[in-house]
Amino acid sequence: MSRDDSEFADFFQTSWEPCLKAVAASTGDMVLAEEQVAEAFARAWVSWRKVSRHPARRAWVVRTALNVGASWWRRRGRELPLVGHDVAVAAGPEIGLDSVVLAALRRLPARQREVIVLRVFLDLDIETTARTLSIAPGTVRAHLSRAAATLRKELSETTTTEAAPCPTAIG
Amino acid sequence: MSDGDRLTNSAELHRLNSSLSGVTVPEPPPLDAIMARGQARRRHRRFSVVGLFLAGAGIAAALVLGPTAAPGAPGARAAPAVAHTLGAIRTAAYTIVLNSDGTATLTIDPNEAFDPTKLQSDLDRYGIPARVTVGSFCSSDPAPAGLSQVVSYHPGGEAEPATITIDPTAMPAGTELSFGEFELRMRVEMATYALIDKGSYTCSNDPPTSSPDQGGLYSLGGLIRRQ
Repeated sequence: MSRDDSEFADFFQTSWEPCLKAVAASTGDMVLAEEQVAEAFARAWVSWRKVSRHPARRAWVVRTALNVGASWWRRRGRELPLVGHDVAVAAGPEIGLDSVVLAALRRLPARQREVIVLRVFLDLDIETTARTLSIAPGTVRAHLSRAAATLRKELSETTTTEAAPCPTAIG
Repeated sequence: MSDGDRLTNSAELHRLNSSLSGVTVPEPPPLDAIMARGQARRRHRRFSVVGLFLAGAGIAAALVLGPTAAPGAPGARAAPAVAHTLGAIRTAAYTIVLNSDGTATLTIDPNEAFDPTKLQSDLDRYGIPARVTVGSFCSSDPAPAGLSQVVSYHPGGEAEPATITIDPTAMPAGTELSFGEFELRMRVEMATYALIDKGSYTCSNDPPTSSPDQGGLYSLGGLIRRQ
């Protein structure tokens, strides 16, 4: 095994899980996410000279996986949930993620979700997140702030609804 | 603490992150499968470039030939004639090249689905009696001897696809080459081949887990199992 292959092997072994989790959280489908992430790692291997110099390799894989998914959906002529802004998904149990949290996450605009995936799930700093998405650090902060506000509202509404007593029959 | 840190430490995002940390994910696929997939992608890109080049050359030839290349004119039939003299059949899914020693080399692109009936018919054009199946594999028990004289397997390399070269003159009378393709998990495709007795064989829908008796087994993605 060449030095490049060996380096890629280390990266693959240590990054498979966090990348898959991030993509699965974004798509809500573990099986599909597994396919997308496998394809993204295959592309990373093909372009390893370039990817190995990337400041956030895992972010490269996750973005590639999400783009692969979007491209598959486009090719199949189906609705594109990755960029949809109002797609309600009842997913959750199949990937083991809190279904309420997952549904709230998936209702976020695509860009906010991308920021969440990179900043929160992959733990990239603001600067690297901004560079990876080719946007300004201030824009990353703005997306994070809006995403947090939306999630706060959505999750508190869900909690309120869950805690509300059953309506009493009248008459 | 920066604004970004404060935001990331918000209760909502923290709940999101905590929720994700409890998720269990499937084991990663074998590294070889990922690399094989990458190899297939490289090949696919290379074929696409060659295809574009040939398409461009075709357009250029048509422009040069001008009115003489109109349907019915001599120039209009030139392209298929050239393909025959090269001794190769090229489709999106596979290539069969006729070699000067009478053997034929088969290369399959795992990214493209192939029509088994067409592949079988194309092999027949080069004098190779074959039974090509997708999702099943036919074999004889006992298998006719002599596969190693009929088929030689070339595993390829990082930038080269795996191929099999078939010598139809070495096939014992009454036999044909059985070639079965299966799509496995993670889009790794596996091909199985063996000599079969035309008058006595059975077919199974189960992907073989090991090389069949007197047969070969390999991954079209470039993973070599064994022969």
